[in-house]
Amino acid sequence: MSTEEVRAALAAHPFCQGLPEAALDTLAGHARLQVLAEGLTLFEAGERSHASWLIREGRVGIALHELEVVETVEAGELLGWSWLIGQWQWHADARALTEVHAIRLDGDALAERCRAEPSLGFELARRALRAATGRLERSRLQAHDVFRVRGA
Amino acid sequence: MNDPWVPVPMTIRSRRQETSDTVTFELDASAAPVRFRPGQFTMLWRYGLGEVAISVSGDPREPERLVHTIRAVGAVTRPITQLRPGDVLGVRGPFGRPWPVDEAEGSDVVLVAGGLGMAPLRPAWLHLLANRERYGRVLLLVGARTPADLLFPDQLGAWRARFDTEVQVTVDRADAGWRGPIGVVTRLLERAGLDPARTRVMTCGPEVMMKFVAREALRQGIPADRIAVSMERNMQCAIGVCGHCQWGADFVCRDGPVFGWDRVGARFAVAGV
Ligand SMILES: Cc1cc2nc3c(=O)[nH]c(=O)nc-3n(C[C@H](O)[C@H](O)[C@H](O)COP(=O)(O)OP(=O)(O)OC[C@H]3O[C@@H](n4cnc5c(N)ncnc54)[C@H](O)[C@@H]3O)c2cc1C
Ligand code: FES
Repeated sequence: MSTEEVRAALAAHPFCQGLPEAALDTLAGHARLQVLAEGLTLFEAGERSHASWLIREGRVGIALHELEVVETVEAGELLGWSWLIGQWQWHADARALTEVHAIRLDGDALAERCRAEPSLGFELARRALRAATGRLERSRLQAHDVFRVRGA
Repeated sequence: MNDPWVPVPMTIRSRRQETSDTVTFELDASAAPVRFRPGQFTMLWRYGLGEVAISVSGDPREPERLVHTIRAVGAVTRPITQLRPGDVLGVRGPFGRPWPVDEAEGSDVVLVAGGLGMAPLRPAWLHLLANRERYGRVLLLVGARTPADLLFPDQLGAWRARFDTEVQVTVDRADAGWRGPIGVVTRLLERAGLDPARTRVMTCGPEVMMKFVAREALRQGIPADRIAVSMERNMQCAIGVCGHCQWGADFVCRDGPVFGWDRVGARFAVAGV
């Protein structure tokens, strides 16, 4: 896998839309392409968090209480942003529900780079915040349990 | 349409249990065919029980077969869903304004159905399929509480297998046997890759869900007048006389049940849903 391949995959991923060329170069230096087998556990709650995945294909399930999947993360989406906001621990489990093609970002190295280059840090944090805000809104809607039959 | 005040007796031809609390009836309307537009409803009356508003969930091209999908929630719907083939229901209608399927010709069309909302949207979907060449992309996005709560699962599978439609299903919760998406239905809208300049959205489901769907569609740049929702309010006359179904400045039976978001969006904000 060449850095060009990784860079091209990053450039094509919606998470990176609008990122300056230099930022893509930096990311490419700390990213690799992965194929994750169905059933593979990416992380578990309590473990140290030091990576993110940009999903290119397939489906990952996020589970809060052992086996109950609360949301799936799919192509074009970001999985995991804890390290970007200074939390180095996962608060959920993630498991590949199908074979998954992803770009794995190295959080340890990128956190270092973000400190040295605040503009890069800002861009990444802004995108992560957007993903987190979406998750928050969806959790609110899910908490309504809207399909429950009233009066039943 | 027959006299809007007088129920026409129709015999139940078939009954299908859709989920634990929901059944689909086909009524024999051959003596008085019910020509309806997708999104319209009828008033179903059972002697001694009362009358309820139920959307037509069948194919608009088959006016002799009147199809309804009914969830047992209360005093009238519970006993009605117990009826069997051969039993008789009184039918008034059809009533109400339809989904804007004619106005949508030439556009991409997204139907977003939550829970029982699939029933009123099904005729619109069948209309899109029957007139496929008149539309751009057609998408059906379905949300349900669990896989067992999905309405028309076999048909969803068949529609999904077509090469000229996009059908996606998500559930709020599922056990390990489910391999599809989990999460709220608005996520499917986020993933759909829509062109806001040429898309129309029609959505039916719980009010909170429709509000979030409309919000996501607006966020993507789809104008409010190209987003349609279908409302439920208690009904009696169904022809704009009694005022039971009043909602803001509208009577849902006469001015709806399908409304443009440009007309009713502000009411959702006030209602705090
Ligand atoms: C235009 C229109 C189209 C409709 N289409 C359909 C349809 O296709 N299929 C269908 O099953 N229903 C549909 N409904 C809803 C249906 O009319 C009501 O569920 C019915 O009137 C309830 O009557 P009931 O006497 O059985 O319940 P009630 O005894 O009046 O109510 C008993 C309990 O059920 C709850 N309840 C009432 N209505 C609903 C509801 N809509 N959803 C969940 N809980 C409810 C009440 O809060 C109460 O707790 C539609 C309503 C309208 C206005
Ligand atoms: S039900 Fe009578 S006015 Fe609408």
